[in-house]
Amino acid sequence: MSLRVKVFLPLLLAIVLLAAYIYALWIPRVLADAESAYRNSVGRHLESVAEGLVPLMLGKQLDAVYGNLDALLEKNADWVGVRLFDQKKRLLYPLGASGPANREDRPGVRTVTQEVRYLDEKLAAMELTVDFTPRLNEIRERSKALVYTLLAVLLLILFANGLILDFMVSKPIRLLADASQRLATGDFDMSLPKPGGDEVGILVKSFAGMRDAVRSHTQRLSEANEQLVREIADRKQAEEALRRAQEDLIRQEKLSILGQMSGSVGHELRNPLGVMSNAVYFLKAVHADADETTKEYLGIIGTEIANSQRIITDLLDFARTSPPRRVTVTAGELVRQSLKRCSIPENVTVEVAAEVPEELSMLNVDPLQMGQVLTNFISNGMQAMPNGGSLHLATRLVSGNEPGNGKREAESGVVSVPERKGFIEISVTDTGEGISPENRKKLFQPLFSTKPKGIGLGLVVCKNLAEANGGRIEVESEPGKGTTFAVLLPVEDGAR
Amino acid sequence: MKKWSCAVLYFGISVVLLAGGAPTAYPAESYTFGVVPQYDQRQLYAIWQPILGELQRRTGISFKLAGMPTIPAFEKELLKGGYDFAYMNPYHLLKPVKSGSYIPLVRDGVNLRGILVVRKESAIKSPSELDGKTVAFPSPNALGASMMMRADFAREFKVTVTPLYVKTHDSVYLHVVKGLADAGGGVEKTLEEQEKPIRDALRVLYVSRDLPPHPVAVHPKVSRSDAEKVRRAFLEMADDKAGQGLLARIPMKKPVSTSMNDYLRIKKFDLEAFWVEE
Repeated sequence: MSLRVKVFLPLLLAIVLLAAYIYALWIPRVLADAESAYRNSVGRHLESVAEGLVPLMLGKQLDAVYGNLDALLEKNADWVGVRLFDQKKRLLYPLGASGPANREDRPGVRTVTQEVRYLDEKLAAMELTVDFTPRLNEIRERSKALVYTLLAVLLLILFANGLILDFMVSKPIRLLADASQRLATGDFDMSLPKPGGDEVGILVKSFAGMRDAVRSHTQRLSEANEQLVREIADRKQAEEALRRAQEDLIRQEKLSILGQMSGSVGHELRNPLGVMSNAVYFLKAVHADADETTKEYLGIIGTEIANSQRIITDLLDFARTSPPRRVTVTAGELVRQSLKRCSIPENVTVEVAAEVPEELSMLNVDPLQMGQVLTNFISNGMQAMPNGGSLHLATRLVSGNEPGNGKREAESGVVSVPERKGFIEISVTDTGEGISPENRKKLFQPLFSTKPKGIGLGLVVCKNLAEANGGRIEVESEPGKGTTFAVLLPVEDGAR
Repeated sequence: MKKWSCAVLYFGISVVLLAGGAPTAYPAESYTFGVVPQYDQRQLYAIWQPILGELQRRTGISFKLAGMPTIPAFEKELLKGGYDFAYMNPYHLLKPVKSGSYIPLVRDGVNLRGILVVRKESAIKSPSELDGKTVAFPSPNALGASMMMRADFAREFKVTVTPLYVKTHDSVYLHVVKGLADAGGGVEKTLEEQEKPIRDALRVLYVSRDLPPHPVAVHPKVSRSDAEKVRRAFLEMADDKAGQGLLARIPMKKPVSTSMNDYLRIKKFDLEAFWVEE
């Protein structure tokens, strides 16, 4: 049940009861009073008429009596009829015996009698029949009009009050309800009704205060939540950093142990391997006419000894990077020396091309270490193209900030090198299978290798050597199209 | 100084001479017109006021209706010569008036006849059966309705009736209709003027000898020229329909010029014994 119904239903009921009271009690009472008053009025009128008839009756002026009564009947529309009797109760007026007496049965018709007396003598008796109906109907209609007007005014007031109630109470409450729902969803920017000085205004003000308080609390909670999230993130980041640091520490420790063990083992194995290599060489020389099988086996033993020596070299390089012995050298020399040291497998068709401008600046690096790096790049490229391909070596001058061609991933930044200092980039590009993004991230991790015979230390050693010479290594690879390894080496100061 | 005094004297004499030498015009404003109250005063006023208005329009003379509630009062005023013009009972003309007898100007062309009426269902067949009965009359001196009837009762039918004077002819007829009187005296003209229910309820029992009807008479103090204007106006009113309608209500259906000669024959009826001084 709405507020409007709750408020106006009792009022409407009161109006209905009032209307019923007016109809059932008030109007009948008014009509009774009016009839009584009218009867008295008619009685007084009849008295004056009787007084006027006295001289006419005494003078036997019956025509004058007729004239008077005819005139009265004509003037008083509500007079149904007058009958005048003499002392002997003979009908003097009207002319005919029949007349208005028969009309008394009609509702609203009343009879008033009046004697015509002079001194103590009764001259005649008048009997007046009056139709009260028009007068009573008039009063009834007036009463009804009054009641209808009253009811109309009351209903109008009720309607107006309904509008006022709707405007001043229901509408603000609906707006508040809507605002409450929006507030529940966290929307604080709702419009509120303009608060007045009444109870609704107080409610609106209270709601606005509550909204502001909730907004303030929510804002503080939000800020605290954000702070908490930030702290959690920082903590996670710190934990991650700690974890990484722990991992790095563990890895470094492992690598340190590995380095120590590699140095020790490598040093201990190098001499026996050297002896075995010399022995193979001696046997080949002594038994130059040995059968093919023997020669083959000696070749296998020699190859395996060479692989073992290379592995031991890597282990030793990994375990202890020697300080670079810097000399002034050109990039072209480094490229040419490296290509000489590398041999292309017999069963593989690889087209090798070198693009080495001679006008490039000089480098101040250890040529052996850089040669080892480039040799590793070339060897990896050859191994990446088992079905043949092309290997392209190139050198060029780049600025210190230029990250290769923009697609490479730099494996190490050289902090000691001023950023404005120029670099010579020596790149080796193969058209092999390329490296997947997952593997590319692990390329410079120790002991990671995609090759069946690799131990995963080559690129790690290259990285260490590049960094030892003030440079860095960048890798760009696209699976299915090939890979580019580039070493960026700082230009000699005096050469610039 | 003398010149001024003479001028004032001449001016004063001139004023006096002019005032005194002017002809006396009577009346200065309007004439009174008396009407014998045969009917209720309202009815009289309703009949005569339009007629006087028409007379004024035709003659340029102003009239004032002088009503009297009863015939005796009218007669008293008449005997005093209180009316300049009057519509009166014919016998009134024969009564001596101290200030001079009224002069009849016009009357209806049809003579007046007194009648004796009874209720239609009355068993009375002849005036002779009214001996000892109550008979209503307008007034003792109503010529046709009262004096002639009483004379005939006494001389022709030898009966004695109890007169009941009820002021007007209308009242006479009503008394008879309502049984308050056994019979009533009236005149033909007034009976014709009654409403149909009354006429239908009455039966004429007897008709008297005819008489010249009520005249419109003028008092001798009124100038002859004005009297003639009034006579002509009455006669001319009969020439148009509106005038006829007014005159018919008097009733005077056909006005004719009249003189005292028409009324002198009434004296032959020897009605003086039936005149009652009131």
